[in-house]
Amino acid sequence: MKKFLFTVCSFILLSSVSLHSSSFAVSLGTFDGLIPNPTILEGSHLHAGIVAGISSSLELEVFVNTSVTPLPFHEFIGGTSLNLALMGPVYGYKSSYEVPPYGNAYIGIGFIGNLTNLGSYGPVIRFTPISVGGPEFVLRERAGTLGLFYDIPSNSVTLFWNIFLLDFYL
Amino acid sequence: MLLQRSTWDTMSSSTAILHSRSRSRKAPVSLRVRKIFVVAVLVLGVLGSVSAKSTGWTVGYRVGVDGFSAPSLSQHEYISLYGVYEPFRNISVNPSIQLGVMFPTVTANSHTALLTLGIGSGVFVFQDHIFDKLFRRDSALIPRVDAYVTYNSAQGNFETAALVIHPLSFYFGDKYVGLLGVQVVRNLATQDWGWGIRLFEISHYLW
Repeated sequence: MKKFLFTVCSFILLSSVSLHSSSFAVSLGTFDGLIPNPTILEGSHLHAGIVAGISSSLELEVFVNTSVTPLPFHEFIGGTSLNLALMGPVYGYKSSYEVPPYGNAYIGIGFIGNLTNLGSYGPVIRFTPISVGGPEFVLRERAGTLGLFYDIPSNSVTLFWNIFLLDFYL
Repeated sequence: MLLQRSTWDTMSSSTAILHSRSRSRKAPVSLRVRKIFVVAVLVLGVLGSVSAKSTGWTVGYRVGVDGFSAPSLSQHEYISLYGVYEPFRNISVNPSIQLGVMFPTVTANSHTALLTLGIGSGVFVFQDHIFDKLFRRDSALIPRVDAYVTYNSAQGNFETAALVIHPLSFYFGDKYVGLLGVQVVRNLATQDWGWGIRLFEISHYLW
């Protein structure tokens, strides 16, 4: 299973690097989930990741969440997500006459795993109801992202959330 | 510098008052503390109404996400919601008064919502800062220092006093965005120290 997880993560990382997309962002935000939770411990968590547009409405996100309090960098949760914009295309605007939507919402499907002990992993469905900005605006702010996570080893379902996410487009 | 000194003096004196009161936790003291809190709320309300005469942004709201490693506070993520009043808009560092509530996103071990009252101010203004190109809009980097006390309305006592240092606080004219602020937390009942991180904070002006 460890080999499988490593292969999946490596594939996703390599594929995101090879996108040659100009719509490439660095993400920073918060992360937490319901307790008791098989994947994370009590505390607040920091979210860091990269986002790359792979089509006009589709983007790939790879991220790492780490604990900040009470024990900084005590655990790491890695994940990836394929996000679909629900209110109009986000990427690929080349004409200055086209105005991309400033507000949007996203739904995504992905995979999350605890990288510290590899004892928890599984698919996740994410929904972001509020998103303002985008690559044309250099910065995007996402708020209230909810993730419904199915943990394969413990056969349980739980909830994750990112209250705020900031995407800095490079 | 005068502004910083007055802010620090105010903070340290108010913290000292709170410390001295929390040591002798008798009923009359608790009643007095409640009265002080009510007076503070009324004063804030009066100041808020005075702001109608001034020009520019003076009143707004602030949302923050905190994490703590401190006695009496939950280890879970906290959300802070404040009303913010900035009485001196002609001062570029924007000193402010804050009144609001903070609560853990996951309620466990009887940790409940706490009322908060605080003051704060920017320290310096950097117009051309190294993060400027990350934003489409013109921005200024204004590192901030905030101080606040939390009040447990269920138990009727002040629980903690905290000092927050925001090295990364970006000002956009009509809003602030703060990242990774460091907090020093003092438990007023047990006199223990703790710490915390304000992971993210956004302030929007309304009026």
